[in-house]
Amino acid sequence: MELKGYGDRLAARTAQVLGDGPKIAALDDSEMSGETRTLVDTIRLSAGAGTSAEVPEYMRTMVKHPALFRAQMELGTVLFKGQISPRERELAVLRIGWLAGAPYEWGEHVKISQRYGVTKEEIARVQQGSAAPGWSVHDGAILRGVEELLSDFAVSDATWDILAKTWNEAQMLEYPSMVGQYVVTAFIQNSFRARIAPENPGLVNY
Amino acid sequence: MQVLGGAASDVARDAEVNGKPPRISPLREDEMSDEAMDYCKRLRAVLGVPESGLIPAVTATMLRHPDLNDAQTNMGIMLQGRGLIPQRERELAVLRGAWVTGAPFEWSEHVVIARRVGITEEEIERVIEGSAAPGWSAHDAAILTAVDELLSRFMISDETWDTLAQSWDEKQLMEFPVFVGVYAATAMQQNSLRCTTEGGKPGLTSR
Repeated sequence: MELKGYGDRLAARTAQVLGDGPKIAALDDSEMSGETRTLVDTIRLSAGAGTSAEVPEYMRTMVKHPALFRAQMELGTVLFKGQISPRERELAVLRIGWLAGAPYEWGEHVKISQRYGVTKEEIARVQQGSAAPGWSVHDGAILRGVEELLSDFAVSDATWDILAKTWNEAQMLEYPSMVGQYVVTAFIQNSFRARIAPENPGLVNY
Repeated sequence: MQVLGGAASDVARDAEVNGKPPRISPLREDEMSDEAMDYCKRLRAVLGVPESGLIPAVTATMLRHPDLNDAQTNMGIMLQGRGLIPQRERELAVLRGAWVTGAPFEWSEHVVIARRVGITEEEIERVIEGSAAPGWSAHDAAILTAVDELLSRFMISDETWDTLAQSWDEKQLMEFPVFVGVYAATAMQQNSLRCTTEGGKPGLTSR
């Protein structure tokens, strides 16, 4: 299948996804029980982040289903701290966020990816995809693998063989699951109309 | 909206994904760490197979990445063991997702599970046709439509959300996109690793 992405209709997609606000209302700070705060702190600590009284709206939404939140965050943490290097992971996530027309995920990873060495020029190039000139063979294959997984739900032989020249077996095992996990995140955030924070540039203002 | 699916090409897709050898071989018992052996022991207990029983190849493959295998197992237990969406509705969604993603392993396993929870042979055929096929209740059709929307446009439309919200509470609505996504991720994983179907099941042509 041809996967078009939303590059030619970013404003329309943003309006479609963010619409008139969240479908699942976040808990207020005052509605967060001690148990819920402990859950958030535990998850933050296991992900290597400090605890904080500030809990982002997205987390205050997901804690309404604690068992789901815990399983989702555990999987996210394993993959965030996984075998694939952070820069390589972020290239994949940016491509996913862009193709999935996911304002929240794209905007967050515009910031996160730069912490791990992805340049602004590369972020612009991710939008053009694997065929854009300038990628190394390996980086191009990371983007092409995402394109294949989001349209054909399998990595092709040609892409697999290129990735396997650089990656070991555990990294090859991790790759389709990692892409899948960030697709799940796009499904959630788009379907819930998760509101983006002012510092998140979304699809339009990055 | 363009939706994929193997209707015209299920035999070709089976040959491509299921007909070739796995890209990563399952971990052999003599390669297993104590932790992996312990995981297998617990899995055998859950599945009710004897201690010498075979571990499914798909599991033995994932044991090459134990942290990921653990987290995916916990997610699976959460969704299937403690999930809030009724089992029949879950299986309709898994079947539609497996069909649209052309996933021989997932499809063949869930045809068996779906029948066990009361989904009829006629309904399995109707899942292949999708939500527009005559005969679905409005709620069941919305489940199938939501899967198609997520896999092609990465979000559930307002109309479909509103139909689901007439029957489901907030937690069930929260669980649904995660559920569809986790099974899509499983399809991506199993298709890409070329996990061979269990027990010689034919794949997408299983009924």
